[in-house]
Amino acid sequence: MSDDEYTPSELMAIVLSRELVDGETGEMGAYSQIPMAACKLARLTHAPNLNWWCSASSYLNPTGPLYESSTDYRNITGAEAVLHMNEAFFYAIPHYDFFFWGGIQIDPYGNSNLTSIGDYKKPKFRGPGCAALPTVSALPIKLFAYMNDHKPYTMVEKLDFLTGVGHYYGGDSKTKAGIPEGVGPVLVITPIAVMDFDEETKRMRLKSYHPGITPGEVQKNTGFKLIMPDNISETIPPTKEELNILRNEIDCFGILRKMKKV
Amino acid sequence: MYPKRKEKIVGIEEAISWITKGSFVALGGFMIHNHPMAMVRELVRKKTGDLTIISTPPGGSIEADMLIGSGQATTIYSAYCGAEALGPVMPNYQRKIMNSEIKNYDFDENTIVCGYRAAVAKLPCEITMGGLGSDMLKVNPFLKVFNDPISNKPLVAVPPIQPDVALLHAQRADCYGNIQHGGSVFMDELIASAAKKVIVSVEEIIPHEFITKDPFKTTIPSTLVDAIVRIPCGTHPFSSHAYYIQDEEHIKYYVKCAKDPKEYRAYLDKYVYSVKDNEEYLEKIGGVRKLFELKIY
Repeated sequence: MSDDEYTPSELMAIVLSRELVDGETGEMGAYSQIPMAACKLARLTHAPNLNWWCSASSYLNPTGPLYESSTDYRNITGAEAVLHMNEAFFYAIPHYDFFFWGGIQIDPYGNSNLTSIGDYKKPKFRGPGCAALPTVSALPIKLFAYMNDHKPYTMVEKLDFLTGVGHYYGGDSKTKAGIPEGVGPVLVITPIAVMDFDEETKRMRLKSYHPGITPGEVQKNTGFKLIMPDNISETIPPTKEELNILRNEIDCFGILRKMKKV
Repeated sequence: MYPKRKEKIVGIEEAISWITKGSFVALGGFMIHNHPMAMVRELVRKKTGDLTIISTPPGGSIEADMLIGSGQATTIYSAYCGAEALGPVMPNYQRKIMNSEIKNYDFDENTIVCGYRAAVAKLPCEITMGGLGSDMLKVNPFLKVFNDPISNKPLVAVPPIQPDVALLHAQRADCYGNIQHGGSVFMDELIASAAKKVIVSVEEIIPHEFITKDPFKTTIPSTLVDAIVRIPCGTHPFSSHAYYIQDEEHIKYYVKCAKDPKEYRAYLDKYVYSVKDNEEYLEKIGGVRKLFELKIY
């Protein structure tokens, strides 16, 4: 691979890093190489005051190389503090500004399914469970969703199981259901595009398509109608500087380069 | 002469004998780290049966999958059962849920934490906002939505979760059961507080004076611990935080075998049933050479 080429995972990490705001605090779940890389990159570029807890290992602001597992002990390099997970639930998580999440399905309102496909009692596919999604979604914080597959069967009009609440069903549906109002999902990133949400309807809207992909292809791979505003543009590709920092100071073992090409 | 204080070091067989048919067993560790695998393999060999298990919130993995796949566990409370990038969903767990062969209760990590906390506090429930709007509340009969009398808004009540026995793996302990974790504690301390009996396998037993020299390093106090079992490399194929890293090759191999019931039976025969202790198991997975490879901190 030449120096200027990049993998979808590298692009996703770089695009996510640009969205992270200096001074904010957040966390990612397990199996989160892309969000971990995004946090590390943001701190080394535009957001030196970003704070992030490294998943359930509860290390604050690790600075070492990227590892596959966010709960690997080796993540402790450079960490400033460690919490017990039980403590994290009490006094770290309620103060987050953002959280990264994913799922096996996501719907137009950013609600997510990590649990099962088909009839719950006799599922066609069983996912890993609920993880932390039902609780994180009850926090009034920004949610960044990342999907490793952008297909009509992962981006669906109706979820088979609603694990984590996004914008629920839009309008005042959250208030009516007693779910705390808050920011909710702000961005969905996939190997082919970046989506955000329409302020009025709270439905998913195409924000940008990755280089080499057309808006039509993004729609074709989405199981519901995406809102297509006039100002859609191509995703700004990684700069030389971003790629250099990502590869030389963060992803030293090439984990993002080796991730399954989608 | 002062009376002698009771020591809590026991052999693995005695520790596991506390678990009987129908026991509710909690498992410590997280994702691909610190699970009490040697004790789980002993439990599988013992064929106790009819167990209800609760895997760490949310990070259950092979330890839960092996108890399910070997038929020892018939009910699971879980928020996650996988191995991150090495196997997103554990195969026996997945297959047995899809075939309705086990009873599965879907919690999320916070509702399990709440259940443990209710047990610790001896309260009828712990409350949370977590889960409102989620289908988890529709399918899990333990979780009840009620209107809070102060805000008059809906909240979720979680009943106490009190396991009969907790199996944990940590790095060091003294003979009285004071525990030191080498790295992350994950949910072990809370599980130890909630369970009726607590058994901890450790990489090494250290002198009591090492504990008293720096009591800030004690992660679980001896008051919560009933037995210590010394099992070096007792969490393989998982990592033991600060002692050795996970054996990714073996975890992937396990996931591959577990996808096919016949291959899985062969796996259990080779690595569990035909093995008399953890030392023999460690020989089979590659012995000293493999273990040294994993010791890269």
